[in-house]
Amino acid sequence: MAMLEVVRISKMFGKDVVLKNVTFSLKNGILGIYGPNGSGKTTLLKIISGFEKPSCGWIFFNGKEITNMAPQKIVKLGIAMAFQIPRVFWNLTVYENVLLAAREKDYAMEICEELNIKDILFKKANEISQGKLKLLQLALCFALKPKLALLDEPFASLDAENVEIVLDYLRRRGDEISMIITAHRTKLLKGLASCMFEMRGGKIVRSS
Amino acid sequence: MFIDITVRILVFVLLIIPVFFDYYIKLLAASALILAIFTISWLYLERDLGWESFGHSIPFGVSAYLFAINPLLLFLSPLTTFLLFPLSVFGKSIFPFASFIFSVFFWYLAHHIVVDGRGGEEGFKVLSVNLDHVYFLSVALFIFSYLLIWKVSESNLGLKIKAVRDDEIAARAIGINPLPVKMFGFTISCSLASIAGILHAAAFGYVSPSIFSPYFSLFPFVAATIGGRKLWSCVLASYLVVGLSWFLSPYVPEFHYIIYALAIILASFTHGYARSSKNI
Repeated sequence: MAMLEVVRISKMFGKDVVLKNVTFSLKNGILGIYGPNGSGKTTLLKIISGFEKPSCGWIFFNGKEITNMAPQKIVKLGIAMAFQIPRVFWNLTVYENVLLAAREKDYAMEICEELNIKDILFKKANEISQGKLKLLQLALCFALKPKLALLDEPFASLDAENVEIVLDYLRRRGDEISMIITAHRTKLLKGLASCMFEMRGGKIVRSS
Repeated sequence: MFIDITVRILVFVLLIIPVFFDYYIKLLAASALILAIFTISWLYLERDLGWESFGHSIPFGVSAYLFAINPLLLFLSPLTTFLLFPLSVFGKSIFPFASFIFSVFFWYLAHHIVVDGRGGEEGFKVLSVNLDHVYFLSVALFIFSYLLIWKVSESNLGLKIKAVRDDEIAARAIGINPLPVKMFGFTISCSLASIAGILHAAAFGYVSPSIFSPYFSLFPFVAATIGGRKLWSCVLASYLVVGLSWFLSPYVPEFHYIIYALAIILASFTHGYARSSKNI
């Protein structure tokens, strides 16, 4: 049985059709989705995580329908999302941010160390750089111990050194956690994803 | 650090001094202390939850009225949360105005509350309570309010409340349901405002519609602004506003409006949690 099944999902914003009958399934491993801006990648991830409601279609996670379920309930089932534009708790420290998601001090510290944000543990989120914010967003996602992680453009705003840190981290976690990763550039996804889709105009136009 | 300790010492001195003075000073001190509890209830809502209420006189006044009508009704005070919390549907930017308008509505409504021939514009007399008892109870409840806010703020639940304040979507993304978390925060704040309202009624021996007036609606905002939105400084600011209003009103009628005007000007230069979720 597939872990995630997306069945004929469509999404319209007013008259604009952003997703058209998107159907795919994921058993496990890492699925890469690439495509130009406006192709519907982010909307698709937001629909799976519950932050957007589809105009029609169904989503099943481990056989359970999660279409239109509240995001906080979907998280509890094991799907976590890392946003392209970081959504963190701006007036809390980096450590407090991760602790809220991890719920265990040791695990929170472990994630911070692995994602290279241990040196800014006690800085508030509104005091750190864009690149570190991106790492913090990933830390929040993985601190939830998800079964499926939805990573929206995780390499955007990162310098070469941090891209390597993230790639290395995702490769290691890829054995135990399934992921859907979106990116503009296929180069970074190729070494990571076991399967890739290209999206254009709200449709999956190619899979490899 | 030095200023912080000095402010705390000053507050404790202010708590003790009135014990040695006459009825008038004690009533003044009780009034300031009760409004200090009212202010920290407001500050908790603003600082930890990010909601700036200009209608905090609703839980304050409704509880005072319930107590005046029948002291047994004071157990309904925490339910005053349900009068203010629904206004949060308007969002953080509209909430101050919506809550203020709602408090004005209560001000109007209070003129028409009559029970057993009592009430109306005259208001209600409250069971006679010895001022010394009210004062010591106020001191105890002030300390209780401070400890409650401190403990809740430092707890895991307090961290969740601050997370919801900063970004509700981010909170949902890590599995926090914002609604019950916000509701809990509002209940703490409204319950403390209710305690202050009941003490106010007990100290003065009556409750009239003016308890919903802009003087009370805006008081916590004014004291918090003067106090730099820090808990202990706000307590000191409450004493300052009440003291100045009492002593200078015979010379400058309605002197508190001057303080209020200055506070509103000052607020435009200072930064509140409620204004923005970023860069606070």
